[in-house]
Formats: sequence, structure tokens, C-alpha cells
Amino acid sequence: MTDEIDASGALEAAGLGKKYRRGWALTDAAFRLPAGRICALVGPNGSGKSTLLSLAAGLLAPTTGTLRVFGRSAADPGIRERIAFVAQDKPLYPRFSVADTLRLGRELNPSWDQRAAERVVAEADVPLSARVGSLSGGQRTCVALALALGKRADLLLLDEPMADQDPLRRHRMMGVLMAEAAERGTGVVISTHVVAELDGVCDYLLLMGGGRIRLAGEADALQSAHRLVTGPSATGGGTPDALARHTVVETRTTGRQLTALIRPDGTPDGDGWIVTEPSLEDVLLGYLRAPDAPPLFTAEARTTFTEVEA
Amino acid sequence: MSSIGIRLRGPVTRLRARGLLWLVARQHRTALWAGLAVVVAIAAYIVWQRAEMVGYMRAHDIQGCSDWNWKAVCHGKEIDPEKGTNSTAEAFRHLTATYRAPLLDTGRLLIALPVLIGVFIGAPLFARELETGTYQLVWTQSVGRTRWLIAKLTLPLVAVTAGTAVLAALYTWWWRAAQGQFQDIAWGTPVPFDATGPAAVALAPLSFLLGAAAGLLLRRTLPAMVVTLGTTAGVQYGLNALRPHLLTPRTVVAEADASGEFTTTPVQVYVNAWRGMGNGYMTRTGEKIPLERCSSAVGEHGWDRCFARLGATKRWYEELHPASHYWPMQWIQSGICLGAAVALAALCLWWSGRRRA
Repeated sequence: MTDEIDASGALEAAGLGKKYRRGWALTDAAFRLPAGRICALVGPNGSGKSTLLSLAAGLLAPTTGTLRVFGRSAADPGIRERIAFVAQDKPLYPRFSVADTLRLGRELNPSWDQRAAERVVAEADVPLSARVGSLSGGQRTCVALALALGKRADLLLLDEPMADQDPLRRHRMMGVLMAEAAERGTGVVISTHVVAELDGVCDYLLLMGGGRIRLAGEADALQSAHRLVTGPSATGGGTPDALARHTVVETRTTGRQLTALIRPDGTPDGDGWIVTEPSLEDVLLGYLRAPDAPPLFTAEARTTFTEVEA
Repeated sequence: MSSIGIRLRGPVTRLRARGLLWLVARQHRTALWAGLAVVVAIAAYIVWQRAEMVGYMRAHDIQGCSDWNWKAVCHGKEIDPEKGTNSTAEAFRHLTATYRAPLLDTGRLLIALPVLIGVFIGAPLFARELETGTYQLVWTQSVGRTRWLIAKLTLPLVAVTAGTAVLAALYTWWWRAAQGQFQDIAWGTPVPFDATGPAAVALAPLSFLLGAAAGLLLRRTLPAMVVTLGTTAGVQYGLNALRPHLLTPRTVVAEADASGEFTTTPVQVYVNAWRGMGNGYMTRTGEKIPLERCSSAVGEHGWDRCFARLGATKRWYEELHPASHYWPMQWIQSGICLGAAVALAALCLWWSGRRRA
């Protein structure tokens, strides 16, 4: 990968918005995803994950703003070779055999890697002669993933790829995916609403809610930017004074005990407060439970250009 | 998009174009074989029927004779297929009973083919991809969507046009051997006009593209098929209504002879013509009084009085399209169809450009 790509990142958006007939699915998104990262795109259903991925795949045109893929417009036909996309409902031709489907990849992509694609299919125990229409949902997803991996793209965009997989196959597919990504330095964006699925796999995170980006950045940086504090709840409810100078993401009260997810400003202290570093899941759940919490972008996740194109 | 022509010249893209053609051929594999089987079956039927018919006409020495005119003479023998008892009249009766219905029914099948092509090949072409989401699969491979669209249109277009051309040529060949015998069938009616010559061929790409464009715009298979059924049938209906006006009809005037019967002159023009464009009586100054002018007159005398008042003479005129109008009309109708087909193809390309971000 060239320096230019590393500088501009795999994905970079400014003022990005998409409006459908029923309303805005994505509003004013500005973020940056560096190349070669394994990024979890997390958010509840309808939060704009699929819209963002379809924009990145060039299937949709943005209503407002700009989305750059490796420094070029997502609409640029030349960028298509460098990205692979697996749509949420895994569209494939049902009357094609698995071998035909891989042949499609070979015929339509100059950098096709048949062995890599066949490895995925074999790993999932899907016979090459099987008709796609006769496969289970999980098997079809594997064929779609094989097609995406065989393309030898620099960025894989996967929309809920593990949703219909049994745990065993999910584990195996994840293993294949991560091995391929590590071997070639391929960037991956995996959207999901199951947070636990991606723990320990992803090193980058985009959290979406209500059509907005709420958290963006390296997973460890986001994790270490937060603290989980536990202490006595304030009399009469509300936020205890001890937490006032920090950004409180979310508080929960159990009896007379209060647990809060905060972004500390300095070292949190106070009588009887227990301060721990939250897991990534704690952070994500905290934000998911608190839709109004202020967004947080790490330095690396901030977009480097201001919107110039309409 | 503007660089398709240039890109096709590169060796890599030529390989990729083959790739798209592979995809389209694979998707239409079943339809291609089924279409080929239909073409072969109909072609074989036409060849067989024509051979039988021509063989019968040769065996009974009635080639090139017509039974339209009861005064007709066939190869020196007088024929009267209605009442005649000689072997020639028998042969005429047999010919009509055996070959007329297959000839007309095959023609009806051939004019239904463009509708079937539009509904079952054209309409699902894009509608199914858009409906099931498989367009996302292709659009995220390394080929441009305009090239995909062109490939998806080109292969079926070539196939249906070639298949229809074979059938139209064979049917024209059959019809020309039979037309002398069945001269009461006007050549300007849908059978044979829309089933023979270039007009028959041009209907296929037009109907296919009507279906494809409907599928692109509606994005749903079933509604696209219904709309295509309506538009392709409507196009044939409209062309049929338009056809008499493609060229100015010729006026043939018949004088009443001494016996009071009309003699039509010139006979050959009249016999081979597509008649019924208009008829009536002429005034002394040569103006036409169409029959409709007196259609509200009551009784035989009312009718006569009406025409007398309008200044009609006994000279009867008829407006018709002589047989020499067949080929010009065929080319005009083909031109209309192909022009519309090109416009529809342009609409499809515009659509693909519009959907690009």
C-alpha cells in the first residue's frame, strides 16, 4: 500500500448524509478509518450501519457530503477493484452452483484468487457442486464471504456476516477472515449488533446510533478513555457531586449503589469510589443504553479534510 | 462510462468483457436452450408444412393459381372451388381445408412471440436482479455497471433477433408459396404482415427492450411483466392501426359495364391489393363520396336518393394499397420499431448513468 493511501485512510467522510424517502438514515457523518484495521461497526438495528456500508461500496450515492475510499470518491469506478462487499441479505444467484458463483468472481475480477475463495468454501464444508439455492443461510453467507475474499480487495465491507452462522462456523469463518486479513494487511469493516461477537477481534470501532457516529477510534484508546466507577448513590437521585467534573456517559443505580461509565477529566477520586477500567463491551453497552451521551472521536478517527464537494 | 470504447480495446478488459458475457450466458443458459428448441421446432414445422403444401400443389398442378376470382382459370382449366366438380376444384378445396389453418395459426404464433419475448425475457432481465438484490453482487465486482447493463442487453438481444429472423424468413418463404391461393387474406393485416419480412424481425428487439426498460424502472418482476404484456400488445395494436396511413393509398376506379356489373381495372392490382382503405362513388368532376356519407340513409331508395343528391355517378372507386406497397411499408414499420428500440436502449443507459453516485 502506498503512502498516499496510508495518509488518507481506507474510509474518510465529511458531512456525509443519506436521505431515503422515509427520512434521513445517516446525518453529518465525519470520521476516518485508517487502512488495514479490523473495524467493528456497531449499532442497534436501523442506526445507519447498512447505509454507511452501501455508500462505501458505491451502491448508494450520498445525499450530502463526501465519502472517500482510499482517498478517492466512493463513486469512482476505479475503486471497485479495491473493495469487496457482502450485503446484509447475502444476494447470490440461487440457480448457480457454488463453483459457478466462484467462477463469477474469477470472470469479473482481474486479481481473483481462486485458492483463497475455495479455502473458505472448504472450511465451511460447502460442496462446490451444490446449488446456491439449496444451501442454508449460514452456508450461503460463507459462499458470499468466499467471493469477497477471493477478490483480493484492500478493504472488506461485511454487513452482519455472522448473523446466521452457528457458533462453530462463526468461529471458523472469523478465523479464516482474520488470517487472510493479517496475511495481506487487508482492512475489514464488520457491522454487527452483537457486541460480544467482536471482542478481541477488532482493533478499531465505529459506534452508530440514530444515523450518527457516536464513537470512533482505536478500540484500546476508546477503552482507556473511559472508567467505570462504583460508589454510593446520591440522596434524592441524580449525578453525585463527585462525578460532576467528568463526562458521565451513563449511570445505573442498584439499591444504594451507583455504577457510572465516565470519561474522566483527571483522576477520578472520592470517598468510597471504586474505579476500574471497563471492558470494550462495557463501553459499548454504556453508550447503547445512553443514546444522548456526547460523541467521542480519537485523534486518529478525525477526518483530515473539510467538506468541499457538495 | 464514456471510455467504454477505449477500454474494450485493452487486452485485460477484453478478457473481462468475456467475463461478463460468460455471466450473462450462464444466467440465461436455460432460456437459451429453451429458445433454441422453440425456434428449431417451429422452423421444422414450417419447412415440413411448406414442403407438404408445395408438393400437393405440384402433384395437382395448381401452383400459382388463385381461387379468389370465380372467373379464374388455372393452367387452362376453369376452376370454381365453390361448386366445381373437376379435380382441380377438388384440389383447391383440399388445399384450403388442409393448409389454410396451419398457415394462419403459425402466423398468429409468430406475432405472439415478440410479446412472449418481452414478458418472459425482457421484463425479468433487470427486475429480478433489482428485486432480489443480486445487482449488488455484480455492482461490487470489478466491472462497471454500464458495461454490465450493455452485456445484459446485448446477448439476449442478439439471440432473440437471430431466432426471430430465422422464423420470419421461413414463414415469409412459406407465405409466398401460399399467397396465390389465399388471396382473400389481406397482406396488411397482422398475419401475415407482422409475421413476415423485416417488420417481424424488428418487433423482437423492440418488445425485448420494452420489457427490459419496464423492469429497470419498476424494479419488480411481476409488475414489469404485466406492464410489458400491455405495452408490447399495445405496440402491435398501434402499428396495425397506423399501417394503412404509412403510405397514401391508391385509388382504383371501376366503371359499370353494359351488363350492369362492375369490372375492376386493373384486375391484377386489385386482386393482390390490401383493400378496404375506403370506397364509394365518384362525382362527375371526380370527387370522392365515401359510402359512410350515406350510412344513415334508410332503405334502398333513401340510399340512392342520398347519393344522387351528393352528385354521385355510377363510377365506383376503391382505395387500396397495391402489393407494391408491401416492401416500403415493411421497411417503414421496421424503421419505427428499431428507432423506438434504440430510444429504449438509450433510456436504459441513461438510467445506469443516473444511478451512479
